[in-house]
Amino acid sequence: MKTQGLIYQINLKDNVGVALTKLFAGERCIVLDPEKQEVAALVLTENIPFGFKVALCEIDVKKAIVKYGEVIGSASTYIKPGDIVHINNLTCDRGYLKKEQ
Amino acid sequence: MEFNAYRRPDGGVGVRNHLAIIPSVFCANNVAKKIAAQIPGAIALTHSVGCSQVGADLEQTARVLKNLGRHPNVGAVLVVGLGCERFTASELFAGIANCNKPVEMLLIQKEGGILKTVQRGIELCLKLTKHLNNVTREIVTLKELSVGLECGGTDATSGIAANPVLGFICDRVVESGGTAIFNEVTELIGTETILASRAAKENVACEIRQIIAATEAKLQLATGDPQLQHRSALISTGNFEGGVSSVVEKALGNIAKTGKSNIAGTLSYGEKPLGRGLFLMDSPGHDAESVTGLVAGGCQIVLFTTGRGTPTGFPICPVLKITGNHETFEAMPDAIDFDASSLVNGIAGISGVGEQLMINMQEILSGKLTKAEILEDYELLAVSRL
Repeated sequence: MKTQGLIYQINLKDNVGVALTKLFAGERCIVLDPEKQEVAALVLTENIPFGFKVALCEIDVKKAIVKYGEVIGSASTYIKPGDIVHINNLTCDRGYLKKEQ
Repeated sequence: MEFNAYRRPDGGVGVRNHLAIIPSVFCANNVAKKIAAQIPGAIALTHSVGCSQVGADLEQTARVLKNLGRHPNVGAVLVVGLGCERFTASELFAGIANCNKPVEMLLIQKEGGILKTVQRGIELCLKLTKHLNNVTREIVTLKELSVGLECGGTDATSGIAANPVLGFICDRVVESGGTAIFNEVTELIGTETILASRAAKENVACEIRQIIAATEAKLQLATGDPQLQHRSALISTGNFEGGVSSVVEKALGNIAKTGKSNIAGTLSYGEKPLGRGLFLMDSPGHDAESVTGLVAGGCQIVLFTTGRGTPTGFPICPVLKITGNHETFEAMPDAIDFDASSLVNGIAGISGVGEQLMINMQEILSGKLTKAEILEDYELLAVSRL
């Protein structure tokens, strides 16, 4: 019997979770809260490699992406729940000169 | 928790009893290595500094090399100089002798070349070995321990497994009256508010913010050249491939290894703290430069988390490597000491795994070799330049 895929929400403020195993598009995964208790289910829109982030809810363009309870960057495109979140759709300007508006 | 260590004349305790051959300048590196090769148990601390340096940069080199010579894991020292270097062998010799450590000195230009210096070096080392044989271990407590906290080869498991376990150890050591030091300031960007809120005093909070802001300013300058945008990634290829998307995400996972204690103070690179507790040292993110800073700051052991895996170690200090990635542990068993991956899928709790790591650490402190020491992996000696 295949074990259900697990996604870990490290902090209750987080809008991304971490794939605790390799996950697949279309898979209905269990979301674990910070105490590793089952709190929700999520259907993935794409494959998520082990350790990568997946959106737990929709994240609008330029909105904060939150992990460990803190902002780790912002969305560079519109992100749907179940999407992978990584350098293709997350930007962070810390450590860089601010671009002129 | 207790462990067995060597009591040194200056009152410090060491977990190893090395005969260190320390060049005062890189020109003496090979002579130092040749001497070490002839003496069982001797280690040459080769580096790339000691000349053509001025001001704060030279002062930093002087501080680090003296502190390595004075380190409690070192039972005796042979200083090897060339004879014309900016950081003189006699200054290094004096800086080590004044903590009552057995120390000798040689100059290549005075002895007359490579082979004569090697021969005289062997004679002096045989003399120094007698001092090493006169010391035995005694039982000591965590109060006398200083642990260095380091991470390298970060992936997504670092922040949820290996670093939280290190945080458990860090809390235990500091609660017991011991010391812990963390650094790698490039990898603290985005955590300044959290860390400043843990400062024991207001001036420490200011220092923390200043140290991180200064590093961020340097990075902003370095990444600002439009011609070098392809060289402007703040985290490594391995970090990206491991699922880490930004320097802030990396940093937040990183600080889990500092546990929950207040931060007692900040330190310059390679500076030893005057008191005990948890300290932030101003070092770059380069693994070798930062571990060198920790050891110069007096850490008798370095706990090093690595998601992707690394073989690296340090010549006079055991580097205990921990991974939260089970595949990494299976793939590099001769490089990694401890598997914390049971934390990833929730089978084990932090305190259970933490207690196991405490036992592992106790054994290493009391004399059991780390994987890096067994294979003589000593890449992490590199003195940072200003």
